[in-house]
Amino acid sequence: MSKLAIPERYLPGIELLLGLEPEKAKVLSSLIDQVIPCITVDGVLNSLSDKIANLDLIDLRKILEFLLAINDLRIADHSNRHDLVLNISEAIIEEKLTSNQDFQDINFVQNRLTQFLGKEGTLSLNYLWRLSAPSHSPDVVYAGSPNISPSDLLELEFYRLAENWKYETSSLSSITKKVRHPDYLKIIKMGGNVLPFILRSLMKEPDHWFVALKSITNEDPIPYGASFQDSVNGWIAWGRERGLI
Amino acid sequence: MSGDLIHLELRYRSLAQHYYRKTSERTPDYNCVAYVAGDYQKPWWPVPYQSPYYWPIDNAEGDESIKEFIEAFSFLGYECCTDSDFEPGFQKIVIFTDEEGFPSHMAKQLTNGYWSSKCGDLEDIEHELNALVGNSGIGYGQVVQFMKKQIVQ
Repeated sequence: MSKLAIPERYLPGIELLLGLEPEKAKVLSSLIDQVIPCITVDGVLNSLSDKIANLDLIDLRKILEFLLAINDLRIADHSNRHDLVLNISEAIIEEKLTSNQDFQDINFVQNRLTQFLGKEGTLSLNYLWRLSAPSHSPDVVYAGSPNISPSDLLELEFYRLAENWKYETSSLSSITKKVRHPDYLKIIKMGGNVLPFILRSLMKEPDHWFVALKSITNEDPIPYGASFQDSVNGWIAWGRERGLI
Repeated sequence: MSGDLIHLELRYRSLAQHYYRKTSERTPDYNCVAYVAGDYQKPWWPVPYQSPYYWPIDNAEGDESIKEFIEAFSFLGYECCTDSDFEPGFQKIVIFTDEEGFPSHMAKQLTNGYWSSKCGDLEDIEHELNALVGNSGIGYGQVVQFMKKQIVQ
């Protein structure tokens, strides 16, 4: 029995996602990864639809809704991507959520989901989700899982802000513009409770968290002139010494 | 143009209309200014924050004007020049500025006459000079200042 409960409304999106021709799936996953910021969801949909032939907006929205729902779960559950893909694939196969016999191969399902749930893909998905959904709670849930705690919501909010910040500033050369981005400033305002999230993020995917760490902690354990990697390692060591990670 | 770099083409809208190719994987370890200066260990920017951000001259005021950039690279041995023409024996660099006139990017010239850029925390690319021109959101602004330094063998 699968551990995941997937609402019926996502079944059309699952069918459409699995039914994409390989080349079209490759193009769509790449385009979703690189959604242009600061436009509406419909604008995003139009933008994607223009670049991928024979896939109408309604179908594309169904696919995105399913992917966004999975992405919510990934963030809320702090899921290991591999485990999440495996659990969803098992749910699709075991619960016979797709009637198409071509999609009964679990390896095929896993490969297709992995293609759309890569590290980069989640950035844009997060962005889309943020624009399109007012609620933070995932509705694809593990059976018997408790309600999301305030701590989980704080972490969910942190990752949502962080991923949007990364997407919107990763191409900037100016460090000032990076650390003055509204979402980065919101994270700083969240205060000491987000330190474990920042430090874990720094461990998994080093980024420009140094200004936020210094602002929140009023400490700076890194000597001037240190390299980026030494600064990352220094802050991680600082966090470990204080039991934050 | 390469579909593999569609994320760059979406961010720098002129890129697809020009020659470019990726020359490194993405990393936040250094930025365009550090790359031009030859430092691949830490990002350079004139802000009085803390490590790993580095600036080669004193800048306690956090001045981010183009004058500050010119002074920093003058300190490194560069002098201002007027064009992008390749000159054997010289390393040329260029400063881009945004709509407000603040430096937004730097690139260095290669011996084949093309330019080389570190795109924020993304990839390094070899490109035509105008490939990264464009307003904020679709490019790095405008090319405003060339500098050059004699290459010491």
